[in-house]
Amino acid sequence: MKFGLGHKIAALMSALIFLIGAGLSSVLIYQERVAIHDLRMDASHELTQRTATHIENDLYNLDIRKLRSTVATIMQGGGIDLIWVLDEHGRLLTDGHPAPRLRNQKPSVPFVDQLLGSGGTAELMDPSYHWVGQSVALGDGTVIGYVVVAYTQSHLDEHLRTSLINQLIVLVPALLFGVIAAFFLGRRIAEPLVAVSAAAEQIGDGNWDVVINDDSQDEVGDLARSINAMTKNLSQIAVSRDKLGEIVQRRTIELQRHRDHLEELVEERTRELTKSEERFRGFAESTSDWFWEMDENLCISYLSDRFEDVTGRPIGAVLGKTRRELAAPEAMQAEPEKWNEHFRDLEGHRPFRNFEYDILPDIGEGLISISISGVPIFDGNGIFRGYRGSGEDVTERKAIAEELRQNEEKFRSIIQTTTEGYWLIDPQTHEMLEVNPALCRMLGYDEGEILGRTPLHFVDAENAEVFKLQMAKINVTDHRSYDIVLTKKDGNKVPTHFEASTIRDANGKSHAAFAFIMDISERVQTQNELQQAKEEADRANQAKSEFLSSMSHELRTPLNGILGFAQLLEYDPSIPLYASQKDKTDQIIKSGNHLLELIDQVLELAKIEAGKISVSLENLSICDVFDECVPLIEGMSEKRNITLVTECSTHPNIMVRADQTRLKQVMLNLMSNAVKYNHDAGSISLSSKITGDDKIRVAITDTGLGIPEDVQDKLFLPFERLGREASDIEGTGIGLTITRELVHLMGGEIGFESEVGKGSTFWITVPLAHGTEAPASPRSPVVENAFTLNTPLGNEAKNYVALYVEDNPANLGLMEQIFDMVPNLTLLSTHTAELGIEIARTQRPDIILMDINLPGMNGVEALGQLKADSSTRDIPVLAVTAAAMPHQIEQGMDKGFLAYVTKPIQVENLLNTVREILKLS
Amino acid sequence: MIALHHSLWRILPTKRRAVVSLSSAVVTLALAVPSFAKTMTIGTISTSPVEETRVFQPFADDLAGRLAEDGIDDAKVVIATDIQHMAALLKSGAVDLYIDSSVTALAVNALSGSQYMLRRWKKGRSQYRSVIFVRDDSDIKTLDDLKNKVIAFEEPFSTSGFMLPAMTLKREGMKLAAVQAVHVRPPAGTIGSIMAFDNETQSSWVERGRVQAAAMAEEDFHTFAKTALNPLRVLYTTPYVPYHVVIHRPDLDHKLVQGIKKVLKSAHETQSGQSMLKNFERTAKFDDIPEQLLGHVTVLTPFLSLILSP
Repeated sequence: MKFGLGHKIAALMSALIFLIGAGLSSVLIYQERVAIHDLRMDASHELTQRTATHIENDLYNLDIRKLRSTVATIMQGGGIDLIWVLDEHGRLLTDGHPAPRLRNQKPSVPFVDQLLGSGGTAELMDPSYHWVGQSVALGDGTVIGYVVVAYTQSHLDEHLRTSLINQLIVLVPALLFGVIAAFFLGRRIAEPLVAVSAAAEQIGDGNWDVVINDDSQDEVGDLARSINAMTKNLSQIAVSRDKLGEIVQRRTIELQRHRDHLEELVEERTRELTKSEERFRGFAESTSDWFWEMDENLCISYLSDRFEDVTGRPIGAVLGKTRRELAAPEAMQAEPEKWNEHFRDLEGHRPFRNFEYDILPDIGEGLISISISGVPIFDGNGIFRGYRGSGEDVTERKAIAEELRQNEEKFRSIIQTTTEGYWLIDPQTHEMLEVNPALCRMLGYDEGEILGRTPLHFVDAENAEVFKLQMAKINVTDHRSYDIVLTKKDGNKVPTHFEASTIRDANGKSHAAFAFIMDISERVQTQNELQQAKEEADRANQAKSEFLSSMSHELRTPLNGILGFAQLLEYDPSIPLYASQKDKTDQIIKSGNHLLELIDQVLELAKIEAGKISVSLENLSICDVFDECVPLIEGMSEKRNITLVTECSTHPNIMVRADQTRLKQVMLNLMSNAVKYNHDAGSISLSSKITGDDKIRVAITDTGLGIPEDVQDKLFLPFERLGREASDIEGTGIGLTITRELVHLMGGEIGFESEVGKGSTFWITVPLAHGTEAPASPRSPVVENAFTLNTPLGNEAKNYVALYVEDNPANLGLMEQIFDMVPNLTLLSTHTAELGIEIARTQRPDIILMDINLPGMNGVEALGQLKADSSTRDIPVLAVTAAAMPHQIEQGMDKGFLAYVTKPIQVENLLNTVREILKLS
Repeated sequence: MIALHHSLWRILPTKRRAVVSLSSAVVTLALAVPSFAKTMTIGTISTSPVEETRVFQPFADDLAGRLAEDGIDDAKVVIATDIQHMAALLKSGAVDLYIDSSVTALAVNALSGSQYMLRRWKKGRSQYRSVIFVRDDSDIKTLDDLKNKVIAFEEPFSTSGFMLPAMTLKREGMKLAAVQAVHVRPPAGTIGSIMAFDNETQSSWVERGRVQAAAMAEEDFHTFAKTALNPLRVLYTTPYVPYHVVIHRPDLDHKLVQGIKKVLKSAHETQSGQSMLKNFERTAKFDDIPEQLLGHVTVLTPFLSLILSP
């Protein structure tokens, strides 16, 4: 960076200011130091003198305590750094502090020697202290001690430093200000000279246009003005010559530029014209239309090649002809007015569009329909020069249009004659655009009364919602199918079915919607009638089910008493029966069981007829079924010495697809019939084999009475005993009916062969099983254990408490007598569920036996309350009820009954169930 | 009820305590079986009562708080001007406990009938003794040589600086005679005694020959002996006596005395007790006065007239 004149001036002034400031500060500091020194000296001397006077007596008495106190007091006043009281030898007596370190020692300070040598007062300033001392003497001049006072120089220095800092605080800003001012001044002085120097440099470079600021009224201003005058003269001389050359050069360059631009423009235009011609040629060759021109005489003067392709007429044969000459005569005759108008356009030199006419092809039959469009040609002077235009072959298009017209006529005819209603509506406004006579008849309106209206006019409020919903779909869906009730003109309702569609254009936008409307009054009526019939049938079925359920319950309840008490008689060891009495009770039990069986079978038949029976098909081993059924029949057969032969000729692993329980029921029914209708010492054989239709055939053959041929067709009818009602053979006449239904349900067939006197063979077929499903486990045969009423339950040492809730006195009495027999069981009983719950809460029985049909709260509700109460929740509850329908049993188990015992109860079964429950709990 | 009342008491300003004390006493009497809750007064002798009260009051309050079960619910501090004053206060029951040096306590006990109770380890010191010293180049070799000489004591109230050495001298058969100035000769056969009121002055007087001997606490002697102008020599050392003691007034309830002893003797075993002691002039602990040590004090009883005479 250049250290210019301005900087020099500024630096010089700054230095000057600094020197002046520093000098002044130094002088002030010195003066202050001297002043302070003098002041302190005076103060020191005075203090020393006062102290010496004050301590005379204490020093004389050597009262160290008072000397110490005096010195300490003076020191507390501040401003003094040290006071010593010395003895006559200069040894420290006290410095104001207890037990001073220098006690009895002469301080090794030069001043002390000076003081001792002075004999009076002394003063010394060393780097650390300013010492003042004075002797304490008696009247005779005997010195008894000294007082020494000292100030540290640091105080003075501190004071001077403070003063210096204060001065600097004032001086430094002033100096800075001076330096800044010096820089400004220096720059201001140097600026004009710098400008002159810069201008001179530019002039030296040839720039004679530079002008120096010459406002200043000093030598620099005079210099600037002289230089300006000089450069002005010089530049005037140079401009004339240089500028002329420049102008010429510039013009030459412009001319060259324009010439080049013109050539470019010409080339570009030429290119565009060529391109346009090529484009036009391309269009002409690619289009299906042709182009033509007529001269001012309206004769064809030009035809593009396409004309010949379309019409087959050579262009040369057409050129020079007028349109009138080209047109087919019959076409002109068919539409004279059209032609006249066209000629008027031509004569009037007006443009025309899509003028259609027929021409005869050069070769072939038929007319060719063409459509031409043209515009008149005028020259630059506005003189008519002919026509120019295009033409196209519209033969095909016209044919299609004709076809469409014909199709529409057909459509119209269909619409008008159909018996179904029809309407066409606007997809946006939903106004009727078209209707057919059938709709008018259906609604009772004239056509005029319907057109322009919307469909909502023909429905009530409820059905209007249906229309609104469907009309909202017009633009969304293509087809809609729905039923709706229309309102006729006379107010009557007509149920209808709509098949509606939306018509869309090529862009998918809907431009109409139509619907065919069918009067479905008859169908609706038929549906209503069917619905009514179904409801009646359902009600009848329901009534029948309720009747059966009620009957089952009502019959089972007294049967419970009959069979129960009969069993009591038989099982009560305290009342041994005579043989005749036992026979009678056996008969009671037998009859009761028979009645029970009848009830069950009637119910089952009713279920089958009602279609409420279902089978659970599974893979079974047919031989396992035989093995289960035979033991159950053996008792019967052995009594009459009937031989039972089982022949399981199929492989034991062959499986059938059947309901295990129902198949067993079927087999037991057939086998029991074979026993019942057999001779004593007769035989029964059981066989099976695989048939050809993927089934297995099981046959039960007996050596019984046989069935007369005339009654064989009644064999499977319900309650039909074929004349055996009067015999001693027991039966209900329902077993085979049920058996047949069950076999059919399992996908099999049943049949028989029989000969009177020889016996009968009843057979069934069952489908074979396929696949890898595991076979059902054979159910274990019931093992009958020896049973007596007085067998203790569970833990013999424990006394169990049972609660029985039953409203029927007879049943209640039966249960009480049964439970009386059991040694370690106490029975509590009550006749309502409410009381039962209360007793359960207070007595906490080990088990509850609950009837379901109770007055007030029923047994299921009571079970719910017991389970909801923490105090009774865990007491097992056993249902004992005549509600024996399967759904009732299932419902009861779902509700939480631990077991479900149906009436009439089997005492052994009941007590075994109670035993098992108590064992579990 | 008493415990609750006392906890409220501690946060009340001093001036209100009297009023509350009276009303609480009435309420207590009205509502409960009388429990004779009372104020315990602790005293000492000092010429700086304000300063001493600042030192003693917190200790007194704390101690009273620990004696609530013994029926104490308040504490007061009384500063006596001299031995006679304190003895009167103890005798009248105005002061319950008096804490001071063991020799001063001996005098007070003699006058009031109060009794030694506990030793106080003030500033951690359990016992101390005095020395009588001379310049080493002195021809004084025995106490007997002090006759006709002047001994500088510290001050009349100083146990180590006057009472103990003076009574010991008397016990040794010496006679002391007060002199007004150092240069004054005592009556023949006596030892002139003068109060220097300052250990350093005492030492300086001996060092510079103003007096022939001085007596002060042993520790103080050693401090000044280090910077002595001339070497000094211990002429006689007294037996150890307890540094500070607690005495109780003659008819103070025995159960309360036991209660106070129990509290003070166990104070140093707890954090709160240690805090109480520390704030009481850095007392290390309180304990029973060793028999032998107490004996060193009580043997001086016949010579109490030395310090009790006006």
